[in-house]
Amino acid sequence: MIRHVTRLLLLLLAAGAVSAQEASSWLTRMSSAMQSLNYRGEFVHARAGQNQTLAIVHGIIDGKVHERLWSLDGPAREIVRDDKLVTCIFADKKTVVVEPRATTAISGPSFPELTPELQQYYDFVAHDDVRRIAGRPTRILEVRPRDPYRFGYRLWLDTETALPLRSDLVAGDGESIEQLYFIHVSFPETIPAADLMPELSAEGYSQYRRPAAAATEDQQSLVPEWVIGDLPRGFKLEGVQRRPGMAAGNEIEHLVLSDGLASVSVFIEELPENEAAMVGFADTGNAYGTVYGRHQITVMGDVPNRTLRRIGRSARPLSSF
Amino acid sequence: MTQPVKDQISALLDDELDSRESALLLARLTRDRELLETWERYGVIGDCIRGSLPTHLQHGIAERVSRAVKENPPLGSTRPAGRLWRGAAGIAVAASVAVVALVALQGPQTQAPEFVTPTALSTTDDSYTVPVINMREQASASLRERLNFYQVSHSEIAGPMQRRSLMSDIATDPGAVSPEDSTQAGLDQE
Repeated sequence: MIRHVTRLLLLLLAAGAVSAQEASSWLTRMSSAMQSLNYRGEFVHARAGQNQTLAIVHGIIDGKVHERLWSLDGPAREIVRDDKLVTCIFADKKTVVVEPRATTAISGPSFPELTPELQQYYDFVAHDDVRRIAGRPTRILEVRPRDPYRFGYRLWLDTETALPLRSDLVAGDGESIEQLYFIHVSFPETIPAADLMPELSAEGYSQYRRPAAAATEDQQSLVPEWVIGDLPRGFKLEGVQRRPGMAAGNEIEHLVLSDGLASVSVFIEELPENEAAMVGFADTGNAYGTVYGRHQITVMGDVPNRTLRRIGRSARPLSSF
Repeated sequence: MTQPVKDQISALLDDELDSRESALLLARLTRDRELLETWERYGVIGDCIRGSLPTHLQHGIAERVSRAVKENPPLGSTRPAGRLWRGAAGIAVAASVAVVALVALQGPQTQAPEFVTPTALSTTDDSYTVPVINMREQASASLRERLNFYQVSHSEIAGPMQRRSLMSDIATDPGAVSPEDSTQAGLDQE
């Protein structure tokens, strides 16, 4: 009897190891697919009872990633990203906003790697059954949080390319919070450069350019002036960046936190006199605001409210110690 | 276990239970094994030992737990047993110690966090009061704009999965960026 039980246990352990190994190889394939594939398609973004349809073209030109994303419902809007700029064109506001890409001094987890450390906080399970999304067969990869301080993911990965054709952000109780799923996708050999240029003419629109952060070399030697006194376990400070704020002469300290999969930004900015502070949770569900002294603290990220709040409430200036 | 009890544990971690409710829940924790396991799954024991509990639950718990664990070593360390058993026994001891520590802390010792909370309108500086607007109730254009400003910066550091969803938000959010007044928005008009 004991021998049977032992054998069963060994089999179960082996199955677990295979599953983790398989999940790891799917993750690696997915990461490289998201970076290096040429693809175009239409997808639905569903969150908080709202569904929006968008189109995307993702292409590699001269070794660099270019992406164009535009709305198919409601007001015409487009976002074009390349290695230097993010350009947002809002036809409804007759406005163009140009944002220089963040310097490389800080970055969240570019692509998750299945490290033993990450496995302390998440379980990774590769499922065997094949499901169809956008007319293509997919395999499901599940990332389950091991405590209530982070969310999980359910990813439907294209069996041929490993591109996620559907991804759900999932709460600890299994409830899906947000879904992104392709309704059509194709993988052309090449993407013409013209397809990655904005389609909206933007002629006569007001143009705004956001001030860039300081140069990379200056950012690398930055020491944060604020600390998070009560970080949920697994989260670490990955970097800090300072940039001009919304109000003239103001500076924002941007702390980047991550547990290896989820990234959280903390923005700290001194409020100009009579400027109201934002407090509480935003209706988008991924931001929390609080106040410390004259400073507005805004925490943003796809993590549960308790994590956002815990981080926000424990932010304090280094000088207060 | 019923969902309301799980919700209550979450609420306790979030400092959202009133003192009577948390006393009842903590009392129940000391006798309900299944509930204790949930408590353990929520990682509170580890947090206790590492001293990284939420601020409102801290107040000396870490020291009490480490001291109690030292004084009452898990059963497995005094009795030869399989590794699994040792682990489970250790967890159970640590869990009950944590609960006892928490129960003991209920009452006047449980204080509001020392950090300024969203409900506290006056700030650390008496000569200066920061007016506040509740994000959920007053989604004004300027508030949206500030959130959107942060959102674009956040999308740059977020992983690719998060970025796709943030970008979709910006491309479809009816309240996103409308810098009608460029000085106020801190943006340079070209």
